Amino acid sequence: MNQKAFLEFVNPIKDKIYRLSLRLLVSKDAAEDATQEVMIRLWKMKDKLKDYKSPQALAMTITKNYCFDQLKAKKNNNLRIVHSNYEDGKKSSLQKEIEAKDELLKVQEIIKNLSDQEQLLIQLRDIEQLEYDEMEEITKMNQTAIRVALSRARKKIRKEILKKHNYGIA
Amino acid sequence: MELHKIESLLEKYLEAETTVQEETILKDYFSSSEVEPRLEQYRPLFQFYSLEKAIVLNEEERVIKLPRKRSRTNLYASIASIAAILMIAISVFQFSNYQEEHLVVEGNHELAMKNTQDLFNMVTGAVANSKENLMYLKELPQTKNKLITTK
Repeated sequence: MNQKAFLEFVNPIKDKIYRLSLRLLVSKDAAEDATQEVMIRLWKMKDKLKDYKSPQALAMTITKNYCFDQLKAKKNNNLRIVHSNYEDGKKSSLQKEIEAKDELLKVQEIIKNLSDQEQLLIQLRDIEQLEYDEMEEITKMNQTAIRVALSRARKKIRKEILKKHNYGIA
Repeated sequence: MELHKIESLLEKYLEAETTVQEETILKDYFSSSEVEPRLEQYRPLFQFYSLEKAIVLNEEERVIKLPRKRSRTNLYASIASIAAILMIAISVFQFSNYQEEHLVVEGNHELAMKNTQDLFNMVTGAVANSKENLMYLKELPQTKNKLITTK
């Protein structure tokens, strides 16, 4: 695999790598570093990439492992909440926009409080919309275990949302 | 989209039994403007997922910094240059060795003659020295006679 072919392979999945790193590491800088590190690791094994059934799953696995290592090593003591700029598609009033932003930040907060494993599953399924067989490859879990964990995570999120929702009404 | 279909999809979603296509239907429904007030609480969640997927690396980080590339031709060139340097070094070394050997061969007759002469001189000197020491041999029978008397 030459440099051109490598870039063609890596370009469509680079953002997925970044988003997963961002989900797990929270800090934008850490996520950018993680993306760069994964790129270098992939580059080093570029000649073996074609032997893998799904190079994309491999890339995500490397990202997952790297991020979990980072979290484990507690290198990211300076975790900070990233306030992404959510753009509301609809042209609503300023008040509505602020409310929408607020709701989304609440969702972000809820997801951030899930376990690393749950965050990983939510990221892969609900955000990246990967199929279960690909998730099996990335997480090294079997499909049933993934579904059970994912269902639990989704219910947890719903419970938290309902809690905040009802609190807002009362 | 009928409401009860969305509700049943939501049920399936919570049990993690929906397909990617069905989850896309949910995402699309909740990003539309006609969300049933009863299901309003799910709206931010699915909107959040849609928005999260739209996050991309910023421009300067998009540039992939790969470790400096050593192309195959470069690799061959460096191997060839190392080989060439080695060959030149070896040939120069051998040539100078050959010249030295040649000199030794030429000067050999003289040196060999001198060495042989030296050796002979040494041997004759040693023989002359030991001849004097042979005198002590006479003492030996005298001492023997003192100790062992024979008639």
